[in-house]
Amino acid sequence: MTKYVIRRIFSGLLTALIVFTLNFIIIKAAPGDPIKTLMGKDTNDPVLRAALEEKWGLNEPEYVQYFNYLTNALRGDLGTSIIYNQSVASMIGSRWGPTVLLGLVAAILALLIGTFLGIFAAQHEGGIMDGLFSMVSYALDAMPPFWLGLMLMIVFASRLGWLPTNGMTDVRAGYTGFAYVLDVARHMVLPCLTLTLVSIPGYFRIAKSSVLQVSNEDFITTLRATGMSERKIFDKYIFRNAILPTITLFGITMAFLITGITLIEIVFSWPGMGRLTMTAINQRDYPALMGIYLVVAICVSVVMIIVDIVYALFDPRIRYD
Amino acid sequence: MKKHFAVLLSLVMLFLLAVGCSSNTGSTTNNGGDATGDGSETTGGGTAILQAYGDPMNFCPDISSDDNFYLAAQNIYSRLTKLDANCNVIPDLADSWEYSDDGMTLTFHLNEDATWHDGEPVTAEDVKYTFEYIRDHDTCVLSSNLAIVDEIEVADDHTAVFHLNKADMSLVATLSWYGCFVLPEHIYNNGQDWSENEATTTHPIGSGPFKFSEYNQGQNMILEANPDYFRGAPKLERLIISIIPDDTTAMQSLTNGELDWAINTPVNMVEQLSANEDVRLDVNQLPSPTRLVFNLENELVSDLAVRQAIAMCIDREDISEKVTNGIRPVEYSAYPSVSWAANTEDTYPALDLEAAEQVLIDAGYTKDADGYYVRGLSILTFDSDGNPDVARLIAANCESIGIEMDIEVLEYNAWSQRVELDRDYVIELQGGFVGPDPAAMQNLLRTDAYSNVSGYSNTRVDELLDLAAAESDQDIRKEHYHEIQQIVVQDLPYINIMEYAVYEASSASLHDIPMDGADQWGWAEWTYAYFE
Repeated sequence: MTKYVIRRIFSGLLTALIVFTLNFIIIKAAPGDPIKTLMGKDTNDPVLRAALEEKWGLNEPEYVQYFNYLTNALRGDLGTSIIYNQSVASMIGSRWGPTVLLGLVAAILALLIGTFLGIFAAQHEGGIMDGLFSMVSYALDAMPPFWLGLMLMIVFASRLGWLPTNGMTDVRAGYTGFAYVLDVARHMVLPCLTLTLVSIPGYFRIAKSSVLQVSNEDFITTLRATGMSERKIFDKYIFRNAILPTITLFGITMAFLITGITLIEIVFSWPGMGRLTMTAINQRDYPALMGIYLVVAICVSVVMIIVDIVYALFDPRIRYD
Repeated sequence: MKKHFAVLLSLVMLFLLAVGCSSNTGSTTNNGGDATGDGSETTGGGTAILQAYGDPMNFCPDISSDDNFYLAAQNIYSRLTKLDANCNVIPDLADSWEYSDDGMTLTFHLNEDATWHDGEPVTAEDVKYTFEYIRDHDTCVLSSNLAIVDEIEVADDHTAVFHLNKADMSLVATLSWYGCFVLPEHIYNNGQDWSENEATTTHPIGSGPFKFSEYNQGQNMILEANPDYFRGAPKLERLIISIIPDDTTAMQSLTNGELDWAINTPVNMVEQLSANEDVRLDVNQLPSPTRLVFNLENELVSDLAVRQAIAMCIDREDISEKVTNGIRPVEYSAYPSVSWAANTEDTYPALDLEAAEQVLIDAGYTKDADGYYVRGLSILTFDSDGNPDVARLIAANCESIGIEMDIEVLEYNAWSQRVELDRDYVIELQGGFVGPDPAAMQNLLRTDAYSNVSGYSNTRVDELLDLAAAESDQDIRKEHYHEIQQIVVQDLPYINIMEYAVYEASSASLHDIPMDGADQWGWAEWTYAYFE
């Protein structure tokens, strides 16, 4: 087991390094540069451009720039954003909270609701509820998140007036203390609902299919033959086996949470990492992008390692490999 | 199974609780949304919430031309002069200004009551320090424009004299726009680079109507009224600049009372909003025409006949109607026809498909087997302001008379690289500000000017640009600019298609917003705005 864990950690580190390098190559290959944003759309002054390129070291050869990023990153310094002239670490620091709050709550809700409905549908396969759930699941799966978000906003914020439209707090009121917590909770309902609804189908499908699959295994038939109650068979044998793929899916969702909810953040003006990343891409803010993707790569690696370890604990076949 | 159900049920309850809380506090929000809100209890000023698309790069308005900070900058800082909603130059820190007869010195008389937000007086020394620093630092956006300033003389505490090495009547307008806010010398002159100064990174100190109070990254910036503002305390108590990246969200927020002013109304929402009594819509028109630019160094369009034929394929009325519901006025002049300098007599040719084809035939072009006179042309543009649709409509007409015309739509930065740096294009379509002074024509037309992406070069035009810039008599200047435009509509380095105009949406209970104050206050200045 220890050997297995060490091997996973090593491959995680390697993944982060490869991602870091690939990311550098890709963003450098993209046309355009951050200087255009610094200069503004209405000027194209070559003297200004040259001065800014020199200030930010963009006139250095690419490999020098790469090793600068790499040595800084190895020392734990994510560098300074060219556009905002502030440390990338502090920019990420002020943005990861809202994203994790929104993403985590939505992922847990989607996991519970989707899995529950999936199991229910599998147990009543071919029934009316199964048909209904499957249909709703397909419909939700087909909806673009930003569109769904906008529709929910129009219904619940504009028509009914129950919930706020944008942001994380009511800026006019400027609540503090417990009122602030409630204010954030209120602002979170619509983006969270959107994200939960679009994430449910994944959990629903995977829960339903793996329950069905396990139910048809020979050992279940054998258990039935022994006369064990259906309830006991399900709780003790089907559920435990069928839940494994869901754990993987949850792990993957967690890993992509940091940048994966961009569109919802934009629609609801939620001050999270997705918007930060999107802006950095549009402005070609190289240090910010390198920093964000390094953090994401490390998060993905860590989550994957944890998922693999949890998996190995659940399923001995994996760690004996 | 029951256990799972219980967990699920409790989560649903939690969700409902959150919604429930919302309806309690919701009523207070709506009161706030009625605009006077909490403010009415104190000074009667209230809080106006204004939209920005993104975070400011920093709090120094003179380093970059940062659209996301520009609104805040115009309320925190002052310039010598500023532009009103009609792009005319009006007083800011300078009550008055005059050129010497030879145009070589420009004198500004500063308002004597002006103070910085920390109480220090604003003096001519601040003016000298600010503009000489900008001139000497290539990384400041306006640096090149100030190369014509030899020295700034402090005649007395409130008189600054700019000694120029070349007469330029457009300097006042240049000093009313981007990157030209007067900064406090006592804060900035500490040996640090401007970009590192604390005023740039955390707490700006200006001399404008509002003081900086708070900034929450990704969310908003809060400004408080400056009671000591030299042109009188603002009527509003607070300005909150709220970051809302999406136009549709901004419109919903506006109708729900969470926003009081939005930057841009999507064309498809104008009808719905104009029926809403709580929302006010005003057309905001800027001298930023959409234009089709030819790369004259590319042999496909270096022949004038091809450019003439394309010019006659442009159906401006149809484009304005289909792409913008007719909001953006068509433009036939080489300089925006709202300007005093526009030549509205010598204009681009009107739509005439038959004549367009005839021009090609007369120039000796013949149809190939596929029915094309000219092949391989393409319009390169970026996805903004309906540009791709404009390009499609032009291309369709070109195709109909036998000019093969493709369309390539890139993301803005990629487009900028191809057009502005690599000059790797045949025809490009873009918008762009050509003010505040008609002298800005030189950026597009002067031989080797940095925004002259068509590579146009005409010695007579260069000569006229110099004459016009140095001329103090506006009637003579106008004649020079008219002649330039006459040449442009013949040579066709670029073709204007329509003006830039958008509907600005704001809360109907707000009065005297920036666009109401032509000749009186700045075009993004909220000093005089108040809630009913």
